[in-house]
Order: sequence, then structure tokens, then C-alpha cells
Amino acid sequence: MTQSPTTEYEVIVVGGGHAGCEAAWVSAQMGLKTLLITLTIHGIALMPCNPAIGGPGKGQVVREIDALGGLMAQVTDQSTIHLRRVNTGKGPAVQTLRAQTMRDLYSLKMRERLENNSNLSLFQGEVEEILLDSARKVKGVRVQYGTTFWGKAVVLAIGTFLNGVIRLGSLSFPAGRHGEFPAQKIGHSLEKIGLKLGKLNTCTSPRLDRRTIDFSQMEEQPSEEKPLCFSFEGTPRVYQGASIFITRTTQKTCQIIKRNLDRSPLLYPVSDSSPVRECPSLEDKVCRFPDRESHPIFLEPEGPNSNEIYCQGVFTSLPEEVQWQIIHSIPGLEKTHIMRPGYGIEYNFVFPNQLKPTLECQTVTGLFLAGQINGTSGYEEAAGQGVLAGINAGRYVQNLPPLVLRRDQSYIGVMVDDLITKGVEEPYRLRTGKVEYRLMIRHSNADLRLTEVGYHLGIVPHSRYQKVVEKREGIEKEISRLKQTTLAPTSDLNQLLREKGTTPINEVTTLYTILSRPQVSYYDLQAFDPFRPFLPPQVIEEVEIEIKYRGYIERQKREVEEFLQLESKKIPPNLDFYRLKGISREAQERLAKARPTTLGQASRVQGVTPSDLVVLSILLERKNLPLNQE
Amino acid sequence: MGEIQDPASQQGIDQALVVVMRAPRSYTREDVVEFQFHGGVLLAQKIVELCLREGARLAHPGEFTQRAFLNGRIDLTQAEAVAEIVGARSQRALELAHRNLKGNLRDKIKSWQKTLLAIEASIQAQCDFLHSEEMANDYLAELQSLYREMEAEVKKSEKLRPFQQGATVAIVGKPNTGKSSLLNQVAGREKAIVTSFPGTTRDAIEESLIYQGTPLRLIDTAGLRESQEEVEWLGIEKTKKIIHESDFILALLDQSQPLSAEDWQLLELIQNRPHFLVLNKIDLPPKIELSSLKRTFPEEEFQRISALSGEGVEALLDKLVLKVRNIFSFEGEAYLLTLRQQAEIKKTLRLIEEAWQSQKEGLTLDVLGLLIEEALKTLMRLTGESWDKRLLESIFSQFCLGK
Repeated sequence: MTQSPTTEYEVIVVGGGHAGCEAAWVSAQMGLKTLLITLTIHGIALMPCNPAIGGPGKGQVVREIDALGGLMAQVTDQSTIHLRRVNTGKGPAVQTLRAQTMRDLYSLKMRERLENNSNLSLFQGEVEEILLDSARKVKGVRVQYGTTFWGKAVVLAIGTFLNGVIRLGSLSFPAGRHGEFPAQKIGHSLEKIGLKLGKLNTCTSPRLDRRTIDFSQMEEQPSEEKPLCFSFEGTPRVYQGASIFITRTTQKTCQIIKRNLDRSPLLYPVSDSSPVRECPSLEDKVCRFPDRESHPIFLEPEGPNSNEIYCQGVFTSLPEEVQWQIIHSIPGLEKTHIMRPGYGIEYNFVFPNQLKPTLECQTVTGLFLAGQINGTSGYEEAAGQGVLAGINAGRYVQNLPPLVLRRDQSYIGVMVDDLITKGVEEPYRLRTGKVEYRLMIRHSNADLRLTEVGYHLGIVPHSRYQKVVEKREGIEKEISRLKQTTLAPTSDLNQLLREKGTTPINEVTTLYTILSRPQVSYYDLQAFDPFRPFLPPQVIEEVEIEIKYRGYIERQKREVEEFLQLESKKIPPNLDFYRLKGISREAQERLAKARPTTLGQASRVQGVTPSDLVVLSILLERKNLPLNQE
Repeated sequence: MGEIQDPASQQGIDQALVVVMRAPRSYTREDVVEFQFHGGVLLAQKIVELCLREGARLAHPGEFTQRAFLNGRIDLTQAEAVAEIVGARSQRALELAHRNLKGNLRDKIKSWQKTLLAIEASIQAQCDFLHSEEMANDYLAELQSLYREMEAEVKKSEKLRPFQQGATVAIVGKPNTGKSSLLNQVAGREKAIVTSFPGTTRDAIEESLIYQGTPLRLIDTAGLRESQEEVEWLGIEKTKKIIHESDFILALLDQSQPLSAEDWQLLELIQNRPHFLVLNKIDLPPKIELSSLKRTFPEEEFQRISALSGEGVEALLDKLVLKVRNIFSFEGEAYLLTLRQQAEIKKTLRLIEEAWQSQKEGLTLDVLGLLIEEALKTLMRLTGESWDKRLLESIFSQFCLGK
């Protein structure tokens, strides 16, 4: 077979969802000739669930994507209609942003960015087979109807399309997203190259017609009055006119659901081990909390050009006929018209313990997996993996060492480590609670943490890196100024302190010491600090956090040191866990499956007991470790 | 059942019972062979030497238990209980350690873990699920009650220390009142099982013994002041310290001499500490003025002994043991905690305290969540559920015997 030069690429990305878009973008930005293959070009970067980006755990990832040079934050800023800070008052470790966006605009803006990248080409088609050479190295993909594309690395980001089946009551039919074809052949290709697949399911909510909703009795949640933006490069703006409205299910809703429970095809088994389940359907909620009389419903706008309203809280796979009854049992929705019913979808995913921390398959060189195919849920989680997979596909082609993000560096690092060591039993969702060092890795300092990484990878331009260097210097300079500037215990100052609910001072005190009190803000002290330099609000925010939470941040730094010690103990990649004496059979199996690369990672593998780890750590110090012959 | 023979000389050594325990039905879950033979240290030594000569090696301290732990036969609290049983010095300590082995302590800790887990889960639900309606519970009240329960448990367990290590009984008195004679007299009693452990105080002589099932550590303060002249006040300082740190004081007075200024000084020091006034040398004619003593110590019951002849010493010990048991008695159940367990629980307590302090000071919910998470990790470590290599090393190096 002869190949024309146009079918040869360095990186091929399969899938045009949130993971695929980011992967293709960063790879192209790194200077690699990149091809993005998607089933439908008009479906690029679609949001099949909420038209919202961010929220706890997710907003942090969006900021990390931005710092690394990905697109999600910038495109969100271009399509936002409503933006809110969330978890304000609960502290910097959990505080972040959540945006309502215009679904179609997000998709369009993303497409615009991708189409205008000179290193990137788009192709519409269905990939049917991953092509490997005799050394199990990726060499390209074969697309339906005859075209073959050759590529040195492939990023697979095909989301819920892998053998997707929509379930709606007793109905079921193959689909990728509602109204789209699934990818069926590639599943066989993956199994053929030896990857183990599992099955997951998830639900989405009905979309309602705005004109048929009575908002008058509902609580309104307007957009923030303060200018805000997601991207570190963005211009903060105030958004008006698109509020979220809150209503509640009634006892009648519960009765309808209980009556029809046997018609829900995707009811999760009731779990008593975990107090919080990540993303339950309304049927699940009703079953697991039978005493609760009602559940909140959030009506989210989809933009001024659309009458569609997303009905957050009614995730369901019940038959359409029941969905009408459910909606009409909710106050304000008695006469509401459903534009698009909710549905459940069942899809295959690849057990992520078959991946390396770089998101490359352990057994296939050059094949990277990102997004829902790895068992995650959420646009942000997918996009975060897309960035990492795109970077590492690029690094592999460039023959340079891969990027591994650690748990103490980023939310993306926590997610990937969780996926590859702990595995997936239900769609994985990021939360702040999963991030041990969350006081150190914050929404507010993602740029300080990761811009440098993006710059050295060649994704982030020097000008942007320079800004971060200046921001860091600005923070340090201001902290040391506050340490040196003192205030006398004047009656004005003490009156302020008393008003703020804290004790007055009775001797000369540094601004730093006063600011370390939780009740006193930087802005409160304006009048007492006449030589204060002009500083951007982002710098002031960091200064305040560093001062107020210093003790706790220091504590986390010490924990990180201990963590890094275990992470630094490497496990040989071809270690034969089955031949390690003194380790339980179960642990041997689990370790052989997860193939941890460090002792620290081994310690997080489920089913591996403390005693197994003691033995492992002792054995690792020996010279004659049993290795697999390959 | 058979005869143990020395393969070199073909000589029979002893009739013995040999028990073979096949894996996994043994203490370590490995194949184990046990020899049971007639008593006697010499015979035991000889058979062990024979085994060593034939290629066996002695177990490292704690090795059997370590293997049992590594093979998943017992968990960490149980492993520590074994260490306690091996080291148990009194009947009471043995019983308590046995209870831990059966898992009572673990159940208690699990219930604390459960409380903290519930609080942490609730905090995380509030921070991570915008659409959840998890209300801010009264964490402070919950934390306070958990704190009180854990603290009470630590305090009760501290009361058990004498059963573990022996109650410290200081013998004080000016020179030549017969402190050393009394110590020797006690050590020589047939009823007292004397074990020699190195003393903790370098300047004092210490004798450990178990009397009527109660372990005692008798400290003779002799030699504290006699050697150098200008050290007199120093001697008093040290005596003061010992008096303060001891669980009980035996104050010796030489009843064949009139009371001196030094005697009075000493009596003042012990006034607020549990003590007996012991009048020694009752074999000599009395010269002490009891009336003035009785004015200072109106309730006092004087113990009369002759440390030389031994007269009254047994009666003194009987009363001493009763007193010591009284001091350390407590209501209800208590768990015997090792120093490590105590340290971990105390660390958890500090974190809980810090957690509620942070809320009082107005710090944010995220900090509360992080502190509770750390407290939880500390408690998890106690049952060995999270891993810390150093911790395991320190536990297993604590054993002073194989198994």
C-alpha cells in the first residue's frame, strides 16, 4: 500500500470531546504535526450533560489546564453567561469558580481555536483499528471507508462512545451520545491488542422549555456581582441576566419514582460503605434516603439564544412517560414542556490500572488514553487527562522524558494516581477531599505551580511565564514588607480590631502579625498602611493566604516530604510480584495488576496491607529481585 | 514422644514431646515444630545449643510475632498485646494484655475512627457537593465528646502503669536510718520475687519485685547526700524530685535517736504525698518524742520495724501493697495502652483540640477538614491500617524475647 505524505502525522488524537480537544491542542502547541479524528466535526467539545464548567475539585483542574497551556479556561471565559465563586467562606483549599456557559458557543469557540492552529488538522470519521508494529508499538489508525493514517503516537479519547448503549426504561439502543452513533469496532481492536474493558453507566437530566416554567416561587441564584474569570490570562467580567433557579421535588415525586423503580435500568447497588456517592441518579437518591421528603432541583440556563433549561438534580434513566410525571410533580414545573428527555448510558471503559502515570498503556508503546475511556466522569477530568496525554504523546515523539504530575503538585496528578493505583468501580469524579495537600495546591495558585512546567514543555509562551515569575516575586516582596512594617497600638487601630471581633494590641506589632488573625483582612488595614504598594488582587489574595494559613501550609509541606520519601523508592518495571515471598496472594495479584512504579504508589493499591508493604520495602533493598523475563 | 539424642555422641539427653504444627495452622502461619521437655534451665540450654549446632538459629526479638503479623495472622494492636503479655509483670497486666489480644482495644479504636470518619465525611460533603444539603453539624460538640472519651481512656490506662511497670516506692530518710538494710530485708523475703532491672535513676539504687502479684519498684535514696559536703542542698533537691515522682514514700526515722532538723525537713517534704512513717530500729531503746510527731501527723499510723532483724517488715509490705492497689484502683474497664498507643492517641487528641481551636479562632472549614483527616490517619495507624515503616520497625524492636 502506498501512502501519500498527507496521511503521516506525529500525534493522532481520536475523539473530539474535552479530552481529545486539549490533547490535540497541546500536542500541536508543542510543535508536533497533529491530527484530530472525530465522528462529527460539528460535535466537537460538546457538553452532553450540564452546560457548566467548574465547581469544587473541577474548577481547580480547569485552572491547572490553563496554567499548563490548555484551552478549557479560555474557551469557558469566551462562552460564560453566569459565573460564581463557590465555597467562599469555607477556605482557600476548597474555594473555586463555577461557570454556566452557552453550550453551542463553547463548542464553536473550541472548534475555532483548533481549526486555526497551523500544526493541527481535523478529520471526520470513525477509527476502527489501532495499528501496531511487531514490537507492539503504535504505528497508526485505520478509519472506516478506507483511509489509514500513520502516526508515531495515538491518544485515544473516545469517551462514552466505546460500545455505548442508551437505556431509557426498558428501551435500549446503541448510541454514543443521544442522537449520535457509538464507536463499536474500535472496542474489538482494543481487546485484540490485549486491553481489558469494563462497563460503567451514567445518567443525564431532561432539558425543559423556559417558556413553560413558573419561576416566580423559586429561589434565584444570580451571577456574581464582582468581575471574575477562569483563565489566568482572561479579563474579569460581570455577567448579568442568566440566573440559576432552585426548586424541590415533592413527596409526590418520590411516590412516582418508587412506583416505577422496577423500570429504572441503571439503579446502582446500595452501598453502605461510603457516606457520599459521587453522582447518583434521582432514583438512587430516593432509594438510599427514603426518609428525605424532597431533593433540591437546580434549573440552569443554557444561554440567551436558547429556551432550553438544564434540570440539574433529575438524573434519570426512567422511561419518558415517567419523566413527564416527575417533572410535573415539581413546584413551578407543573405545566412544563420537556424538550429533551433524560437518559442513561452504558459504555465500556478501559481498566485504568493498565496505564502508566503518563497515561500511556503499559503494554502498548505510544498508545495514550484520556478521558471517560479511563473511567472518569466530568468534562474537566477529561480535559485534564487530555492535556497530560497530549503532552506525553508529544514527549514520546520528541524522544524526551515524560511528564508525571505528582499528588502534591496538582489535582490532575491526584486523579491520575487514583485511577492507575486504586482502579475504578463507579465513574471517577474529582473532589477536594481526595486531594491530601489541598491547602498547598489551590485554585488560586495553579499558575504558580504549573505555568513553568507548561513553559518548559513549549506550550506556554515566555511572556506568560515571565508574568508568573513577577507574581511570585511580588508576593514574596510584599510578605517581607509586611513583616518589617510595624503599627503602634493607637486607639483607631484598636477600635478597628474590636469591630472585627478580635483583641486589641497593646504594643508595637508588625502588619504581618495582625494579618495572621483570621478576622482581619488586607483591605481592612488600608488606612494604617500608607506606603502600601499598588498590587494586583491575585497577589494580595496569595499574600493573605500565605500569612493566615502559614502554620497549616507548613504542616502540609512536612507531610509532602514524608510522602516524597516513599515516592522516591522505585520499583523495577519488570518486577515479578508473584515471586515475592512473604506477600499475600491477594496483594501479589493486586500489585501485578496495578504495576506500581514506586513504593508510595504501592502503598495506595487497594487490598495491599501494611504488612505486605513492609515485606515489599525490605525486599526492594535486596539485589536479587525476581524479574519477568521479556 | 521420644528421646532427644546428640547426633555426634549418640547420647540420649532427655525424653521429650515434639509437636509439629503445619502451616497455616500455627502461630506464625508457617510450619512450626515445638519441643516440650522436662524443666530446668541447664537442660533447656543444652537442647537449644544442640539445635544451633545442627543449623538452627535463634529467633530475633519479637520474630515469631513479627512473622505472625507479616503473614496476616494478627493485626497491629494484637501484635502489641503479645509484646505486653511477654513483658507482663503482674497478673493484672496479663489479664489486661490478654483482653487487648482478643481485640477489645481494637474495637474501641474502631469506634473512635468511625466517629471521626463521620465528621470528615460530613465536612467533605459540604465542601465538595454544592447541590448537597449536608448541613453544618455541630462538629465542635461531637469533637469535644470524642475528646473527653479518648482522654478518659488514656487517663485510665495511665492508672494501669503500676501493673505494667511497677509502682515506684521511694525509701527516704537521713543517713544511717537503715534505708539500705530495709531494701535488703525486702529483697531477701521469700515471698518477694526479685528481678534485677537496671535502675532508672542513676544516683539511687532500685530493686524491682513482685509482692502478692503487685509489681513494686523500691528506690533507695541512700548516697544522695553523704559523699560531698557542699552538695547538701543538691541532695535535698534530688530527694525532693524523687518524692515528687514516686507513687508512694516510705519515710524512715531512727527511733533510737531524737528527731533532728533534717528529719523535720524531710517530714515537711512528704506531708502531701502518699506515705508511711516508718520507725526503724525498734530493737534499740526509743529516744524519739512521739508527742510532737503526732501533732504534725495526727492521723498517722506509725509502722514499727527492725530492718536489722526483719521484725515488722512483712506487715509493712502487706500494708504497702494494699495502699498501692488503692491508689491505682479505678471504676469500670480500662485498656492497657503501650507507650506508642498512648502517644498516637495523645497526638490524635492534640489534633482534635487544634481542630476545634481553629474553629473558635474563626479559621475556615477546610482547615477543620484537614486536621480531622490527619487525626483520622493517626488513629488508623493505631490499628495498622495505614502504613508507616518506621512505626512497624519501632514496634517490633520493642520485643525483648522471641515471640
